[in-house]
Amino acid sequence: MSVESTAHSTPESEGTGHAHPNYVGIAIFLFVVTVLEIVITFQSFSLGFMTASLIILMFLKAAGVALYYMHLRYDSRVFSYLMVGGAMVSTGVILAVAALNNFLPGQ
Amino acid sequence: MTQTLPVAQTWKSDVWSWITTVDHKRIAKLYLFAAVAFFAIAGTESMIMRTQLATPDGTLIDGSLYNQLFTMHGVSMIFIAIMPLNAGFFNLLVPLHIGARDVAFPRLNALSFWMFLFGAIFLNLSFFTGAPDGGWFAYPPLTGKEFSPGTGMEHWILGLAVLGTSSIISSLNFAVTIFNLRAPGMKMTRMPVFTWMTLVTSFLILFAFPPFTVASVLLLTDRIVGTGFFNPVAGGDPVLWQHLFWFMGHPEVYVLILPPMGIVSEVLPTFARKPLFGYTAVVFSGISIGFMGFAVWAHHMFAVGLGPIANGVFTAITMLIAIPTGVKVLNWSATLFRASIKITTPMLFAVSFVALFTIGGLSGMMHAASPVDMQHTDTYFIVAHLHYVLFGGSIFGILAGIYYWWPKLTGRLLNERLGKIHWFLAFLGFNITFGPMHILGNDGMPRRVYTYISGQGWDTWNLVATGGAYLMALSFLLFAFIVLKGLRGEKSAGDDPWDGATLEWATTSPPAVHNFDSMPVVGSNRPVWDGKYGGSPAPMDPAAAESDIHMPKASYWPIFVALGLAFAAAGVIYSYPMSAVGVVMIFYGTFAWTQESTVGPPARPSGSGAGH
Amino acid sequence: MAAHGGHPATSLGLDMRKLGMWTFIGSESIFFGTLIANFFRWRGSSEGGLGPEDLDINLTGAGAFVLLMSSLTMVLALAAMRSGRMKQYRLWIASTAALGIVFIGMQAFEFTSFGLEGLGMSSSLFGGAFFALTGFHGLHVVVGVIWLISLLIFGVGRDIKPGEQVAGDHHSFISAEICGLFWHFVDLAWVFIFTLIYLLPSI
Repeated sequence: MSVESTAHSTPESEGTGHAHPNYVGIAIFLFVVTVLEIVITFQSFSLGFMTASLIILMFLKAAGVALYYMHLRYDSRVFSYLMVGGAMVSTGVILAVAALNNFLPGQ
Repeated sequence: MTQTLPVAQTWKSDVWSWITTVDHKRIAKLYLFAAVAFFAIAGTESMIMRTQLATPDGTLIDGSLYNQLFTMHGVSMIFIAIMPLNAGFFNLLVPLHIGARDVAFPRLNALSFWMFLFGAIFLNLSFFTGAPDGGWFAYPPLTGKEFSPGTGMEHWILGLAVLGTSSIISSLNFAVTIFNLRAPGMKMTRMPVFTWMTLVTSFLILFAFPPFTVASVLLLTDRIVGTGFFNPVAGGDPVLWQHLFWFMGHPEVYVLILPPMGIVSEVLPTFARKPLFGYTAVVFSGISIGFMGFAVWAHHMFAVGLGPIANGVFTAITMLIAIPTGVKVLNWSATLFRASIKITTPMLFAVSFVALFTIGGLSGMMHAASPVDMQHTDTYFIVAHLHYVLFGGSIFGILAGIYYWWPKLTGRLLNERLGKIHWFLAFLGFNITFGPMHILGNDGMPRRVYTYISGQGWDTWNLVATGGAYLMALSFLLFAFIVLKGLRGEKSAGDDPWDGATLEWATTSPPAVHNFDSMPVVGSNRPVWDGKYGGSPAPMDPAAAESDIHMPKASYWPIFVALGLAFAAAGVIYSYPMSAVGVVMIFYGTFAWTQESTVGPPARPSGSGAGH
Repeated sequence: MAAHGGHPATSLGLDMRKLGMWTFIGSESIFFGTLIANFFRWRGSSEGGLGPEDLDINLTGAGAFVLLMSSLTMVLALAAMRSGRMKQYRLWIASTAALGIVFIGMQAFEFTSFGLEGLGMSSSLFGGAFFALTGFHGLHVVVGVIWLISLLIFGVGRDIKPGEQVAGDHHSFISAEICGLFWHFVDLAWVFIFTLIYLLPSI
């Protein structure tokens, strides 16, 4: 938008007032969690336990990337709502397709 | 696109200015004009069908052509008639409603239009080689390679891919615009209902189209590469297609109806000369319809055999949607209660929208109950329902909008007397066409049949319905005449011919290229009305007129990239090198786009808008 | 995408392009979610050919590390730009692109070895669903790499003087930042794909 007019408020500078996260630290965290995931995969714990832990670890990694690398922790809530909104519908589709296939007779 | 036209203006520079425009008002005109053209084509398709069905054992066309016609009629009306008509209104109104000079991404806006146009043309080109004939919803395995061997389905898949991308980009644009470009004081809770509906519609498109994109890609690979996702012989699942399709398909119908509901929410208060009753309730209903619309898709699949639990859940949620819808209808009605009503053409269309949509909603509630739907589904009862909501609803709402905002768009009023005759013929014709279809459906006449034998009790009503269709066609011819008349003559409508309430009436008709001479200051959700009658200061202060306004520069990269996408899609059918050229064009065009300067020449603020 | 002089009016105080990119990300995540849903529908249909248990976790695990590393280099690039260290910025961007190319190479290797063992798009429903999902992800990586390289070729940030403190809403910073958001999104998609498609079926 190329309106050069000063009759309105200027936007705040983004990201100036907060401490930058330790990016390398986050990277190490992601690395460790991934290793953990792979290690768990090759264990013989109960299926339920392994599924649950893998999914939890997956979400931990996703949170790391989204909150810190994509800056959601420090940015406007609007961005988070957009991400979460999409994620909710996305999860809904995955669960719906799974559930509705269990309702199909003879499947 | 500049305010001051060069001295030697040729028709060529005029055409070029339309091709390269990034002005939302011009793009609105492009959308409306193109949409009306495709509406006429789709309407002709339906007239041929109705003529064929007027009598039993019709011999006008054969079954194969009939299947192409009902498929193309559905696809066209939904994707290249109603959606672009809505888009035309988004483009015209949203920046004006929120007090902005244009949308967030003007070139992307132009890109959306050109993608729509080329996609629509590409879809219709299929008539030369065999149009898609598997229904607008394209259920496999009928639409797999074995049973639909031609290129019709590729036209459907790729055409909708282009059209869907256009819509998604446009929705992104309007969502960002509405969030981020509102004038001072224009809080979200002060926006016109139409703009709210635009926002909800945008998110419906953004969230509902991706699963359909996936489904259509998978259908394409089924047809071209030999995957078997939807092919039962290969172990695939045709019902999966239905789920993914209707997950988009149901929010799609709210995409079609919410903007006209927004239009009606603007028109009714103006001619009732009082505010919309329950603004907050109407807005929240729209939002909840949007949310709930994601949860009801399988009511299009009641007869598939999902089982009683699934059917029950979807029945229940579908019925719940009646609540916010009813809230809207009651609020519209309450707006009219004890109002000093001015009967104009837009008002006639708006009021009949409420009545006709309610009838369509009631029939919809009937087959929301899955046991009832076992009787209704695939009969003319559903055809009646969908036309009451999409024609008596969306189209009537859009017609109200055209009559209402024509003066803002062009500076001229449409002829009132002829308009009222148009309404009367349309209303009569519509009900004569689709009313009897309730009876036909209950008497067992199935959908999508190209003829029927006599003596089943269907003969009379089919003839009546066809008569009604011809009456509707006549009404549209009259409308065409009215519109053509409304393109000529003096621009004498004035800024505010209807004594309106919202910001678009605060500026000239048509608006100058920069919309507002100064940034409007907003104190309520009826800023112009309150400025005239409410004791508030007028939103526009002539003394604050700005002198250094730069509008975005015109650009040919949008049409270039759109053409590239069209070639990329069409080449899948016609010639793979064409696709390669298209892809190169997309990349080259995108790069050039990002490097281009966007600051246009200054636009002079002027009292008498020299718009176009 | 718009180059302009002063700051435009924004009612939320957010950059237009950032808002646009996040909206796109919200929508595109549903696209990937549907592809994942489709994969789950067909993961049992290997029809005698290669199946989910044959997926090479070591290779793709390495690929996951590569992408996670590339996200790190991306944020380091942005951090460098913030403090005007433009040479480091360009180096980090180039590294991100390079890591992306390594990932694509790994995917290409994986796809080719599967192909040689008879797993193709149309050889089984599992194959089709697998390649649809990972293929589209790969396509997004390719687009990301092209975008990163074009940041360098088109000289985004050439207007920044060495050592200059760059504000978060500086035009060039936003240009790089939205490329970064897209890149992180692609990485994020792989976080889900790796666990759900490669690890879960193997437990």
